[in-house]
Amino acid sequence: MMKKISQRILALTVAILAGLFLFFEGAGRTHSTVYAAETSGQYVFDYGNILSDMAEEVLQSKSEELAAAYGVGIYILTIDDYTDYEPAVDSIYEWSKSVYNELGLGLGNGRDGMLLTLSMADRDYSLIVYGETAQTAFTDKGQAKLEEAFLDDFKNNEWKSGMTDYQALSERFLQMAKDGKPFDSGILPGEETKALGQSAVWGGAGGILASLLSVFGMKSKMKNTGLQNQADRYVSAEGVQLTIQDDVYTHTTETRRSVKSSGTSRDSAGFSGRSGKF
Amino acid sequence: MPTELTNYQCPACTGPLHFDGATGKLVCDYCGSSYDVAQIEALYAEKNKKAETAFNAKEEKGSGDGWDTSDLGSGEWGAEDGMKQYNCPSCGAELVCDANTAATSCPYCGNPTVVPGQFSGMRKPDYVLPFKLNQQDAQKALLQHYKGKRLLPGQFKSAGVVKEIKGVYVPFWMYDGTAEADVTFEGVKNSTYRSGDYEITKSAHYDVHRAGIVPFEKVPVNASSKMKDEYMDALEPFDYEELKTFSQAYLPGFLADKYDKEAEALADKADQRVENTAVNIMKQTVEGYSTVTVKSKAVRLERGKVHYALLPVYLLTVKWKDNDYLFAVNGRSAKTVGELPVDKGRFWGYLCGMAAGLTAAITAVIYLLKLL
Repeated sequence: MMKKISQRILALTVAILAGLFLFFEGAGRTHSTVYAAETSGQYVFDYGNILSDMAEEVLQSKSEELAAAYGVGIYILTIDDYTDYEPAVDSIYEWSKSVYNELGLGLGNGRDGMLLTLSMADRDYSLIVYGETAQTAFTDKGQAKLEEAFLDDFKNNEWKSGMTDYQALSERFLQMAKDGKPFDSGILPGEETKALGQSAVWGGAGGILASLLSVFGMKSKMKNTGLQNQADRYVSAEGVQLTIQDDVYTHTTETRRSVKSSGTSRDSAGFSGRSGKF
Repeated sequence: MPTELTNYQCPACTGPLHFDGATGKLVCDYCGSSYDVAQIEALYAEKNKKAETAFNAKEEKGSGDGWDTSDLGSGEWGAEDGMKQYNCPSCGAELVCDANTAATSCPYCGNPTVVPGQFSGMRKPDYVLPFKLNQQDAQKALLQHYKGKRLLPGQFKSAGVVKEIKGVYVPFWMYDGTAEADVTFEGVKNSTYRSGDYEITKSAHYDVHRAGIVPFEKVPVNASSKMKDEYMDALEPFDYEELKTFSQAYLPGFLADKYDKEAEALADKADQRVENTAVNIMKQTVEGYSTVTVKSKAVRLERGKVHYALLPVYLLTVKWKDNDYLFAVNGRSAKTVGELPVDKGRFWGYLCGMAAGLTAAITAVIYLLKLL
């Protein structure tokens, strides 16, 4: 009888220890590292599982093509929530820099490459560029254009389309850099007319509004009659006598506004880039 | 028989006298002699008194406790028509005036004429602000007013004819009083900082209580129904430093009416202005906040003395394309108010031209910014 009781206590203890082990194992995953597997030749890391196998293959193939042609890695990384993984940093931008180094991304001695990271939980993204050749091809203005190209798709959850645009425009910038004329203006070659049209739409709206304000301002000068509703000129010389002057604090309110942070040209770690929400 | 009117005549040549704003004296139109107001006032004191007596006697007679003649239909102007009949002391012509007319000129002989009775007893103004400008100055002020008005029809300046120009002493009530204001504001102090991808604004809210006493002096309100309030209000400020104790000797050469709106009836208008200003003054004492809004206010008014004053205004009527345009000029500061015609062609021309020019300029700027 005593033996049976001892066996049951032992089994219960093992079960409790096993349960505790599994619990702490699970909790530990909140800050695990991103895969440290062999990444050489891999350009698309869909840990967030937002791409079909076919889409992943097509994107991987295109990045391989670009790597062969220009010697710059064009990377894509998706993840469920970057804050669940090491390193524990405040922003996706810093996290991506760390991952770029951890995974040993980049091609050639200069580790040239560009990494687009999407963290799905809070719809965060970052775009970072590393290496001299990559920095030359992807200037600040180029990065802004890339951002424009993929953000409109990502906002509509069109992941493959946005990533395809990202690769296509990257190829264009790489070619321009190769030709000795890296893209460094706000308007893409061949899109001058479109840009002019867009400018004209805003210019027209602004011009009409400003002219309306101005002409109605002129019209208001044509009539200067009106009733007075103040008597400040007639406050007598003895002046105002203030009898109560009392300021009482009641409460504090707080408002938060999401702001898109823009990357610097190049930080001390050699990265440039940008991040924000999609 | 004493007349109700007084002609101010030159003691030297008996020519008509008029008040000259530039010199502040009464000047003879014929011989050019000039006299101090006090000098003429003293000279005419007795004559004015007789005129007042005659005026009052006629008023009493008109009010009539005698025979009822209301159905007789004499055909003459009477108080019932809002008109009065006088005889010019200079040429004897019959003058028919508005019942409130206090100073005018004879349309036959041109002599400036004053009705002293209109300013006797309770009707006597406390102050008069003498004219400083003459008619030419008023016309210059109007031309100056045209400047910078891009929508003014080009022909208005050249073809617009000043049909009539009148110097009028307009009756005003001036209200003294004190406002006790008690106002509670909500003051908010904002501080903004950035944390990660967020801009955080912290707003500290305060109940801000201010109370005070604001004394007011001589808040003017137009007391003549003939003058539009929006014109008279817009002519402010009048330089009160030059207010004089009332004397009829300032009137010859100008028109003047006695008030026809009672002080009590207009007090609300002054009250409203005083109340608004008292709250504004309290608000001006609230400093150091990002935004300040009124939560509650209470203003208690203690009404004080009411003064009766005549203030100098030129009225100019310009005729253009069968329309009359009325302008008023402050008889001292030359401030001019009125409504000018708008040239529709110019309006649309400016609108289209500016829209085209600004569109081109803004488009170019946006395009260049995109390029940079």
